[in-house]
Amino acid sequence: MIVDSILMASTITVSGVIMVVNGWKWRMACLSIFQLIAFLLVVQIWPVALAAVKLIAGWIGITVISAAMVRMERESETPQNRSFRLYKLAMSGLTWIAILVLVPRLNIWLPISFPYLFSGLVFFLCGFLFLSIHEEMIETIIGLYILLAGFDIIYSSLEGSALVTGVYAVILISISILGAYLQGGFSSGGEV
Amino acid sequence: MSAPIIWVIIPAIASILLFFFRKKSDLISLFQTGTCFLLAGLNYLVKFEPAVRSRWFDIILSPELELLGRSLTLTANYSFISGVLYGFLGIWTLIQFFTKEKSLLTPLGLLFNALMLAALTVEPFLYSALIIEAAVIICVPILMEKKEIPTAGLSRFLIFLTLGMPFILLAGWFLAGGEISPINEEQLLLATLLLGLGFIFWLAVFPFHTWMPLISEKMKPLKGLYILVILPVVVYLLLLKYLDGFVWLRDYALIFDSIRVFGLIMVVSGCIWAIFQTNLRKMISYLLICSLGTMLLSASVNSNEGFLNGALLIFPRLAIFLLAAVAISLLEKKESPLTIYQLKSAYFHTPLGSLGLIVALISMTGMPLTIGFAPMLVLYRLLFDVSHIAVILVLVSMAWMTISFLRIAYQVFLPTEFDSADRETLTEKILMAVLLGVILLIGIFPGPPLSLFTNFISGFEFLIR
Repeated sequence: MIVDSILMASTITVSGVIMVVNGWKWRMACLSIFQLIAFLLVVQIWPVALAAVKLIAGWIGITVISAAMVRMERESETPQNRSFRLYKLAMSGLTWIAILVLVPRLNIWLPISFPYLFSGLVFFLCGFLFLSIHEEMIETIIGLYILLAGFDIIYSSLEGSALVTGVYAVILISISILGAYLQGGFSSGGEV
Repeated sequence: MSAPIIWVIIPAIASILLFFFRKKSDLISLFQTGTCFLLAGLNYLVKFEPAVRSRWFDIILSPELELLGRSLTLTANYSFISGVLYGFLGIWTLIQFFTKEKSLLTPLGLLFNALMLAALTVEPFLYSALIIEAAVIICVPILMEKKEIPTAGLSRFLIFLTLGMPFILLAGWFLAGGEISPINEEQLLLATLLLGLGFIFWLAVFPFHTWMPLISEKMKPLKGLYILVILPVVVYLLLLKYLDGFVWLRDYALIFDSIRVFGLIMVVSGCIWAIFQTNLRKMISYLLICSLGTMLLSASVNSNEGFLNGALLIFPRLAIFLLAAVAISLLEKKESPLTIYQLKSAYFHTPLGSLGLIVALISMTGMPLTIGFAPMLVLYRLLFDVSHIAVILVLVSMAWMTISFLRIAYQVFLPTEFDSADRETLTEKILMAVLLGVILLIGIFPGPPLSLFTNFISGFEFLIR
């Protein structure tokens, strides 16, 4: 119970932080924590080995994107004023409230315990919000990562298939490789 | 040996291996063309277990390949789809080779096709959502122009098609429960909603269609239009497979009404945007939306004839957009992207390219003696029985589009007082003449080739009653 409460609080905190921070290093750090939270939730209902696959795949993906960002020596952030950050935080706050209201209703259809559904939806909608606010390709990849992590928590509570876990892990890594590719991380002398 | 190894695993591995040799583009183009024609041709030599060998060249294969408790089941019902997918890719790659258009479709097209077939043949078919997502990721480098910053269209393509996956997986989970025990009305409504959302994202239904014109605008048609033509067709077949697989869904009247509304939105919005579009590449993308809408409308009739006609509409789609892609590629030699204003007197410097474009556009509207005529006529008749408003809206949209295309044709054939040099090479002329000849011939005698396309849905035994 205490662990779940801590995890839910962390979910809210990290989803708020990733919306506000601008540097890619901070964002990657937040993504890593997202994956860790997802792992700590999933490991309570799945075997450790299977849950670890998700965590490792997520972290490998984040490493691939980070490597491309470092290689390009690119600080992708554009200056953001305080009002824009406040706006994003306010939007996140509204999303959290909406989720708190919606979860009991959704629980009727999806037989998942509250912390899983809540955390999953916070991630999912945070990813959705992130995708709708940001426009750069690498931000799209980050948004998809958050969104898929959220869906993963919800779907893992419903379906415990090893094959789905495997394919999902491959998809996560592929998305990060794609992000690195589009960011120019694979280019050598202008060749695509 | 099992069939999925030949049509899914081997092409996928070949594609990955060829990727490392992509600088030798001519060589891998020819290799991909050969492989595709070989894979397409093999469909006619292969029989599936438990068949018996009747000809000396018959090859008997097991249809199933087990993977971690799941299976890819490529039965005889899917061999026609496989033949069309690989045959079409082979033709497309060959045309790319002759027109010197290089793109990552060679060699990633083989992997894309393998994933499309895997999505259609995986059992339980709920896993198809994950495979489609993998294919979407593969599509992004194909759709991206070399050395260009990824566009908003690519971002949206990735976002919208990825968003489809969670909804389809969740809907699948709901419906899988319904396979064992009947689900109540509320659950069915929720599953329908989730499935609807998933397919809206995947099929680029308004307002989630914006990635299509954005991508088309930046991309040379011969480079990536293949993806925009094939991906929605496979998603359409997956929709039929879902309807075929779940009796609860099939018997739920709301499903077919929803499909009709989506189809109508796609046809009407696609036509209107195509009419007001001046950029040819964007116009083609709206026509793609419109074409998919006609397929959905046909399926929405919920009868054998409707589903069969939906399959027949796939053939004009493939032929029309191939012709349009080649024609635009020839017309864009001097200026790109091309607007309809630049088509003035185009017939006098690019005769076959211009003719190809006009034939493609007119065929899209379903005019008599064109390849689109027969299935569109059947669609009007079928739709008239279920919804008069729908058929009137489609007819008005098509008529309006026809008038607009006739105006383009007038511009193209407008005599010019300036001497203009012929911009088409002999190879291009032969290529275009062959394509035009075949398409016009099929337009005049549509029976035999179109009837083959009913095989597209022969695997859906519960849908075809």
